[in-house]
Amino acid sequence: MNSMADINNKSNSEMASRLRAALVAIEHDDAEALDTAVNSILATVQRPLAMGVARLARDVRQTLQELDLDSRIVDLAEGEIKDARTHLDHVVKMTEEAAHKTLDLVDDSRRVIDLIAARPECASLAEELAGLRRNMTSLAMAQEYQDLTGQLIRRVIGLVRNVEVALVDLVQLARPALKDHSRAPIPSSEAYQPLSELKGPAAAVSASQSDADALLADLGF
Amino acid sequence: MDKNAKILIVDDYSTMRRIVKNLLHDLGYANTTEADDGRTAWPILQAGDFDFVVTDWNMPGMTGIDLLRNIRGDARLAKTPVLMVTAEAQRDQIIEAAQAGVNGYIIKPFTAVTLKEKIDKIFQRAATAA
Repeated sequence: MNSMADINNKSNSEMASRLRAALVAIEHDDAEALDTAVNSILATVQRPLAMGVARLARDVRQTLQELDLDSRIVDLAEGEIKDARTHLDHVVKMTEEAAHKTLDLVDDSRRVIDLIAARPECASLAEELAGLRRNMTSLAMAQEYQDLTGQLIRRVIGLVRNVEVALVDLVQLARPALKDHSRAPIPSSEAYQPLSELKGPAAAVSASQSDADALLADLGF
Repeated sequence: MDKNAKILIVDDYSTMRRIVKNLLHDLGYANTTEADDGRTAWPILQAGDFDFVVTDWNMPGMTGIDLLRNIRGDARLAKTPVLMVTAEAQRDQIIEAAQAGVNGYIIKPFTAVTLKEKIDKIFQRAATAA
């Protein structure tokens, strides 16, 4: 009934004898015996921590197994999250292609506008042609969105990649408990990459061009 | 500034390089070269006599702020005017760029008018200093 008290008494008397051994070693100036005694004291102190960590790891594995989270996490990490990254990459590429196509057409339209403007019989249209040329510039400027949205999407891709790395690490931790041993091993995950410290576009508390101009003027620019 | 001024455009987004290049052409500056980050820009700058650099900040390889610091730290390139065109719009960043010796700072998205204003101002100052 009082087995816990017995264990405590036992470990206390063990500790006392180790401490006594250390004391004797010091008194006899016996470095080797002191080393052994100190190591055994450290081992006694550290054992509960090591046991606690081992128990925690066992519990995590058991929970993953019981809830069948192992295969779901594997699917998520190996499939859906990787797909999400691929899709986002594809969005960046598609917008880039679309922006270049628009810029190609703008370039071609400008060339045509310049050709028309150079014809004497079109002199009366000079104002309209100048307006059309300005519109072409605005159309080209509007393609800035590709850079700005691209930067935001790349940040999200970085975030998703880090979630993927964390999940793969978790799965590898729980690997011994996986039921489906036929599954191919997860390739060693890409290293976790800290996200850029730069804020990038569209931060809510960012300065406008006029704020930036005022700040630079204050700094003597 | 001479309309033949040799200008280096540094941005990792090809669309943005193209937009800046087209705007510069519209303003009469047709002598432009492109680089996709600071690391590729550096040897190009070393090899050629560029009069002006337009650079983004956030780029892989070497960022625009590091490129700016390298330019200011190089005896031959130190006086080259640098215009930062970036989506980085935090107060601290603008101050950091100013302290690193930037000549102008444009926040994306920007307009053709803003680019013209900043370039005119930079070239005007360069002419006064010369």
